[in-house]
Amino acid sequence: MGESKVDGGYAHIGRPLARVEDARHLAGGGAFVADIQVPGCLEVAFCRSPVAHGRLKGVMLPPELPAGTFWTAADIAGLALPIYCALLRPEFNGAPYPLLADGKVRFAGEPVVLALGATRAEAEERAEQVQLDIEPLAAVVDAWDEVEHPGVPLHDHLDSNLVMRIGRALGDAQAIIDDPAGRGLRQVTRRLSMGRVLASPLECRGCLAYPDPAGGVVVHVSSQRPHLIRTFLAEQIPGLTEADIRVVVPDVGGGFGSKSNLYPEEVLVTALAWKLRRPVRWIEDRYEHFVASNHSRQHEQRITAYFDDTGRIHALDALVVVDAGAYSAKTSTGAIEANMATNVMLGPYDIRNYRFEAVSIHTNKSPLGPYRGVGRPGGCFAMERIIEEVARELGADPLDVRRANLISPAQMPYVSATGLAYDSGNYREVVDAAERFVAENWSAARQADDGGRVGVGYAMLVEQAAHGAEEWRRRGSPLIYGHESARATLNMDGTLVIEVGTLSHGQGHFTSLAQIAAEITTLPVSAIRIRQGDTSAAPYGLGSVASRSIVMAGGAVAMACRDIVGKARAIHAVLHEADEAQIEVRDGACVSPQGTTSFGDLARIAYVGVSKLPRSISPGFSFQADYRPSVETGTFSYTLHAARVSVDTDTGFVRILDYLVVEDCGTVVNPLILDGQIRGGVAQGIGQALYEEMIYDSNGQPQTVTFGDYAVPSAVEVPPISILHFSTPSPHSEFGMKGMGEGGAVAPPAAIANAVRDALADLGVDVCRTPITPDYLLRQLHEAGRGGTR
Amino acid sequence: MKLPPFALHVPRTLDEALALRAALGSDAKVLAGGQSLLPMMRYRMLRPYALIDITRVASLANLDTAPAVRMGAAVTHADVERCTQAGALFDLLRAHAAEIAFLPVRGRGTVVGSLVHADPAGDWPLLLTALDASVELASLRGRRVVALRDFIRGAMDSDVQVDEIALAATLPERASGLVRWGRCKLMHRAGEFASASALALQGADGQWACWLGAIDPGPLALPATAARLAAAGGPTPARRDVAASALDEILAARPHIDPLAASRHAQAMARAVEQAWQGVAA
Repeated sequence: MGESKVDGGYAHIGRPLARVEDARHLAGGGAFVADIQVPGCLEVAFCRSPVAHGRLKGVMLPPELPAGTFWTAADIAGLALPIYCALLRPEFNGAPYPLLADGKVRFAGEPVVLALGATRAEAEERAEQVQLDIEPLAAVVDAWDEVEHPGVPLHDHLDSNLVMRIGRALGDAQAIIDDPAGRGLRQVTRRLSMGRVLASPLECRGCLAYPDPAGGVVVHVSSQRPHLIRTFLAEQIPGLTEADIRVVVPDVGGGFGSKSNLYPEEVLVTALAWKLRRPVRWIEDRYEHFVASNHSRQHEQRITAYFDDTGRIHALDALVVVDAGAYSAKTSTGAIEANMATNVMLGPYDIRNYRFEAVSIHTNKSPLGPYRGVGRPGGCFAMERIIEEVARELGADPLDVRRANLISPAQMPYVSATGLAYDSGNYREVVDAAERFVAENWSAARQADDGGRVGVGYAMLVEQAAHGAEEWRRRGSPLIYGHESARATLNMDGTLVIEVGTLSHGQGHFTSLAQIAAEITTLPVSAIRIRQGDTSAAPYGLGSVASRSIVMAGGAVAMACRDIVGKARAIHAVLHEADEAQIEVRDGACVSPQGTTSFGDLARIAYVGVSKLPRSISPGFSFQADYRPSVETGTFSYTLHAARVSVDTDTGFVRILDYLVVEDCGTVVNPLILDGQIRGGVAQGIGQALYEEMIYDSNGQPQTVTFGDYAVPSAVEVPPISILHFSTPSPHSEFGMKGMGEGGAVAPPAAIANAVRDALADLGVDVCRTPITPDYLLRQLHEAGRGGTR
Repeated sequence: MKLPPFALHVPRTLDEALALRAALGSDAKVLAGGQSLLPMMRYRMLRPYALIDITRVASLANLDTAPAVRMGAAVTHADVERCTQAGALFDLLRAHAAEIAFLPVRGRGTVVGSLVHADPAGDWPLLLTALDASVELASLRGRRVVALRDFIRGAMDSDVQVDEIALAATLPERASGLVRWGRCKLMHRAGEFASASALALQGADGQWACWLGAIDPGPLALPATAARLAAAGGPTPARRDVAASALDEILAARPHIDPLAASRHAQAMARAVEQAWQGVAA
């Protein structure tokens, strides 16, 4: 296994094929929810709560506007139900998410009244005239403080603001924590924070629903999970069944998890279109995205490592408190971050003694949801910051301390202390490769050309992806995302159409899934079309989340294509009286000594030449395959990120000089898409490390509601990213593929924090939070009597 | 949010524009580049019932470079960035314009609009105050010229009467004799508002001027620091000394300033001086 080895001897898998979907988008040919033209469409705007917490005592609607312009909680009471989602765990405390606030408002930006207008501008004008009578209540805005000093519960039926608290002491953790000195162990503790962030896709959310002339309702929604949205809408709207609802997801301008949950706006728009028998649309604007789309992260952590003089970590103790916002979103719930962070925290390290406590708290903020990485960035930040500090305590090389703790290839497959079943990997290999690359390619200077102080930092990550039924059951998920389906149809002209239940929204499935189909069918990629997003056409799928698509949908595509090939061989055998063993499939045709028949000609027989078909072979040429992985605990990609930064000690500004990713995601289907996924993820991780934070004041008022205040990195701030590949195929997936869509965004906060720490450690500056703002560093430098101006 | 309803007037002549301005009074706002006005309307921080778009008034698009610089009210940041006139002053104007936001904003936003808007974080209030610019205003009542230092009365507060239109910003002829300059705009992220912004200018008379922007309520002169530069003469003054001098002046002028911000302003000043000494203008 050498560097950059991704070639498994395949014809199509592993080819750096330019994405077939890009030309259309680059030419401005995308079609998003807001682009769809429907005559007579009513546009929606919301009157949203101006305060974080309060009793909603009255709603005053302008009387001069026609009935049916405004919709309140009372108006929609029989029409659609509040959203409710709970983990199937006794520790979980759920609370219904009202479609429109009813009795109480619980975050600034919560929808209270829906206004309709002929245009969005008119709807906004109308919504602005609504007056709300709200008696303000004290806002809960600090989850850590809420743990120590519980306040009044947001939800009347709950006796505290605890969403969930779970904790365990695994192995000998308790004994070690009780008496580390008796075992000759040292310890180091850090109190860490990660800021609240949000996905900020280019296209915000949106939904358009209209009555289908053929009956029922058509719903266009910017979502990652069309079929689940259909199921959920039928559950939320008593007047509609799943058979009445056709969800058609058009182009989606990025999701990153923020479009995987069901939101109140989608339910309201669909219910109103059905009730009014008119098209109704809501397009989220950026302000609404900031205040009312799901947020992520916001961890407060206390992490302690117990270690010996060799750097071996004997035990880890982790308390993770996450600010879950006001409600549990469907389906992620407010417990998703803290539970996952503590579950994956041990990463690539062989640590058997682990005590953890995961606490999720209701606060007066927009609800928590998934965002690329989900819990992993928090877990990685905790583990990688603390292992860095172990190395500092010992004066040891941080890579050596990592090596001392890595799970070895001989231990694979390896079940972690928290029960994750790592499938394969050689973690040491990526550490060695990173060390070599940095030594050979990066300047060793400790001062940058502009006088900044230079530091290098590392972070490692094991990325569980494409987990199947067993893992979702273990987590208590109310829904099990354990399979994926694909239907392949061979046409008479030799083209192949494959409908999938996943939803590419930038991941390149139109290319990568076609490469898998080409690999098996030997048809050229140009003859293969991947279709998605229409629940009336595609087999039921669970959508594109959790880095599952290439393994799950790819597995289903492979299975369906094998059936296509099997039928082609069978018809060819009958046609030519050929021995099946002598039939070769190449270039989209069956070839035997008796002759050659193209797939198109074989399909023609199955469709319009059935007289040539024996009764033992059914007509038609369509196969649905339902892929369920043989091992359901997921694939495990792994990565090391390295960052070299320069810190300006006079201003506190951090500049990234070099960035390296060394990764192994098993068999690579398309290396261009792979690198794109990594680079896009790293850019988002850099945002979280240095710039992005959704800030609320002490009254629960959001302070960052434009991109002027909430800073995402631009191309100027994202440095060139070097990528090295290794390939340890998964033993459990088709072709040995492993999911990898989120890892790029996971490790940068930890790697960059470690690099900044390295740059400033001798000045007494610690790095315990993200984003690592200039003020955070400059204040410490001033306190230490440093910084050029002092 | 969408823009609230408003009437849009697009006069083709200055007389027409001034007549509209007089007729519409406080209901109307003058629209030039709209890079601050329109977002403020979207966020309902401003709600004018009419906009008078002055960008079709041909005479307002002129950028004159001699004998003195005069920038009409429709001259954009990008117009300044693309100005080809030679000389230290124009190098400075180009460098300053090129670091404002991103190209799409520079192609729309106007210099005079930035002065009228009077955002303390704005780039032009700093540079044009330091260059002792004036603002020409007109109404049906007549014309007047106001020194920019008086025109900007405070944060987001400029001296435009309800019937007036700011026609141009003009620099004094002596500004064209600029000898050396240095500037430093500290931005945490490319294209965003400065967290500190400093200028060091040496005029034809050899005198230095030191100015800070991105500071409330408006541009701040640092005369003592400037005086030290004149005395220093030859070798580059030590960054630390300049910063210390600047910090003293900042803290004296703005006693309630956040100490981290103050040190960043002082640092920007020191870097601007350093750049001036490196003879960027030469």
